[in-house]
Amino acid sequence: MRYTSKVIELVERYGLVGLLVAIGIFFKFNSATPQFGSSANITNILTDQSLLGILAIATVIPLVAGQIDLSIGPTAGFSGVVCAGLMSKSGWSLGAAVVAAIALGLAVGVVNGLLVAKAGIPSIIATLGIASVISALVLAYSKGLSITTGISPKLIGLGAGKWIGLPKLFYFFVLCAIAVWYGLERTPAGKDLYALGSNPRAALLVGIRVPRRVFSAHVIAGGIAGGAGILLVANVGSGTPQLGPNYTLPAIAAAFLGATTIQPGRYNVWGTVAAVFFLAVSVNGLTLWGASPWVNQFFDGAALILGVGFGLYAGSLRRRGVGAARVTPAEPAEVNPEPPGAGPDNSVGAAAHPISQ
Amino acid sequence: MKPATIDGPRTAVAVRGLSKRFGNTQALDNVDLQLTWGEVHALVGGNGSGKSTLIKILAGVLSADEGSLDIDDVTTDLTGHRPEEAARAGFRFVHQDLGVFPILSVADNLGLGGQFVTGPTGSIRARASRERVREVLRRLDLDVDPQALASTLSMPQRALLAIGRALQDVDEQHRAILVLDEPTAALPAEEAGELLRTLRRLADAGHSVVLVSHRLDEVRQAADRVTCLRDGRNAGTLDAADLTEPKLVELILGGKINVTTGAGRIARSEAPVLELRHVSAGPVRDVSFTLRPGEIVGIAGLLGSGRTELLEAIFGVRRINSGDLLVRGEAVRFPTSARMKSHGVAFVPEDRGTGGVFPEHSVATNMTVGQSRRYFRRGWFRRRLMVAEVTRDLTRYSVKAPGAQAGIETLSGGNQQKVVLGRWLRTDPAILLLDEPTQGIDVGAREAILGLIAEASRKGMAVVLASSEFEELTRLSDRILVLCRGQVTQEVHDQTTAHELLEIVLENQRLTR
Repeated sequence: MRYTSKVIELVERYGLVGLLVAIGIFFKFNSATPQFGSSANITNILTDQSLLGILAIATVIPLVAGQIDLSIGPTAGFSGVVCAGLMSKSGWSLGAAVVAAIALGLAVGVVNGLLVAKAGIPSIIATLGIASVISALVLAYSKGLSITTGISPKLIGLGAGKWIGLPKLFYFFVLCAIAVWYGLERTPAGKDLYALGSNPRAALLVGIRVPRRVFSAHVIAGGIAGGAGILLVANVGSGTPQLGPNYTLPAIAAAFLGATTIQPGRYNVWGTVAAVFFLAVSVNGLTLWGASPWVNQFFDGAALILGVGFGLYAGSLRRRGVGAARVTPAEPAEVNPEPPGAGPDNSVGAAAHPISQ
Repeated sequence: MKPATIDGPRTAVAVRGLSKRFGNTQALDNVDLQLTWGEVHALVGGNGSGKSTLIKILAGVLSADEGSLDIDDVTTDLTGHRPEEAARAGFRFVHQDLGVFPILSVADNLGLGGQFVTGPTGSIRARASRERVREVLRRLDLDVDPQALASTLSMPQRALLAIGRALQDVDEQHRAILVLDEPTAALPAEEAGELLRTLRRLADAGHSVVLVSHRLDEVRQAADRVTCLRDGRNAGTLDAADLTEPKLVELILGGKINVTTGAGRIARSEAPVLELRHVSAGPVRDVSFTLRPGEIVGIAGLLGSGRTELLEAIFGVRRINSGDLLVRGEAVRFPTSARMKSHGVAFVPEDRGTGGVFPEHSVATNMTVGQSRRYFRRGWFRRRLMVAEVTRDLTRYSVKAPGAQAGIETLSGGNQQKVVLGRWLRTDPAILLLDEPTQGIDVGAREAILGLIAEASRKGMAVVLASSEFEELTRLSDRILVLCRGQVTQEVHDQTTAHELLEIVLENQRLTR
């Protein structure tokens, strides 16, 4: 009994990673996809997914706080176009354009944050509206044309180059993942964010500054999206107005699928990273095998639904495994069923062996 | 079969030998309940006495471990009782949450759950439905327009509507056993009376009415007989005529009172740690009082008196419209929960589910939420230190849990509440605000929690205790403020009994009308 529950837990935690490895090995040795294991293909995957990965991680932050940001992709596109435009049309230096692009992302985050935390508009509505407004602003600024000239070659070099065998963009992704993981999992602010995502009313009543935390979650997400916009220019080599919104769904799909793995039941950075690569490797392998380009969108949509569905299922399993009859909040139960193993014996045992520091 | 006739208090419905166990808790132990047609039978008992379990078993929502049900000489085994059977046997239930939808019309509210009159295509036949609704309303003497939105109805009218919905498919030849779970909890006393008169009429029409209630005055007023449960056992069945309130209180509490008492250890000379000057906030009007270290001030009031709102205002989660809030003599200008926390104020809210517990998180996280800064040292979160300290605190606050890392859902309601309380106690607050701290938890956990509160207050913590359990208030409080319609109408200094306090509160309620 104990043993099987441990196995189930391991499968839950690392199942997606295991699946990712299995798929990778399958395509590597599949005679129909000889290109899969080539270094060019792997570089390709790492480069492309670095951008999506950063945006998925940005999406995780508001999700942890119980909010969703649908404007992450458009914000990245916006900041990319403006970054390219400032260099190309206004002759700004690379450094100044980079600062401006990040500031722009932060500004979008501030607007989202104010709408959600101050005005109390549900984030799904606020950020959906902002996403549309941003698309309009991008069109107005770019007139719908890609900005291809006058972009700093240093920036474009970032998109193509490698450092010690790995694409440069990948390092940004890793840095971003570590920073956000640290912030969410290892700082008091991150703990507060998880708490208020789980029960905002209770969070308020333990003295957490709920509106401020929700606000900053949106601002940080916006800032990361702004930074990702610059890398988007580096990757594509131009400021392309249509690109941003394409990232919204894949980023959200990865974040939701990521919530079923590594730390199942909560939005988490490493789960999201695993989900990004799981989706990318699957799609890449299938495409090389001859699948049509539409598998990509199909996978994103399926991942989103499966991610949420599996999360619900796993959650109910966890609860069922825990005790016979759970006290539902709806009925202030008079009877408090004690779960097996919660008897006095166990608590005495727990007290007798305090985990030493 | 000849339908039973109404000829005196013949036992019509008998529950025999009902037992039910949840894990380590014996919720019901060989309980009997006998009802007659034409009577209002009150079912009373404290939290955790087993009332709800009994009702759920009758409704077929829970299955019994043992027990049978006789209705007019037909015996049913309660171990495999199903909701359909309960309905067929004539049981009808009105729950505390009435299930009346304010945005729907009276007619639609009655029609929910397959009671609309429909045509061959399944569409609702409006006229026929309306006729039916009129008929139901007439039987209940509920004089409202079927097309009116339920939101325009008064609370007792809504309760009647819920009763009407429960009884609408019982025609005049059949009899129902109508079970009402605290139907008057949300009603002011005078409106509750209206509802109770309807119950009496239903009983007079031959039905059997079971009334679950915490309000002892209305039990005396409305019931013919009273059955009391205590700790899952029969504590006795009495004729309401023989009943006095002290007797009823004794039945419910079993005479074993005064395990933990506060009282009598405040240094009166000490400066107040909290002071309210003419505070008005929402329904709370012009409340002033002071609180000294080590003092427990009780807030007594009926539902809707503003107890919760007063505590919320002090904790900065409800806007204070006028008046001053002083902590250690200094006015707090714009109180927010974070600011009050930094002033050493702690708040245990009424509803554990929505305001206390963080679901799907561990016991350790629940215990330390909002305090994680103390484990954050040199840029790193000291997780092991946190787990070690929480493990120690689980013993300290006698929380029965599989361990610090276990999910909060693995704990019983009482132990969850100990975690919520312990979360604050471990920060050594100067002022502890408690709103119904023992609501919906079993007797053992309740004693543990009252003990923790008394112990903390002995160490100098000041406590404001709002509770609808008067027995709890009189046991712990140094003095009790009677809150009526948002105002403090009386301050009780002397030792009182729960019963005397109830009298005082009801008296105040009458006077402030």
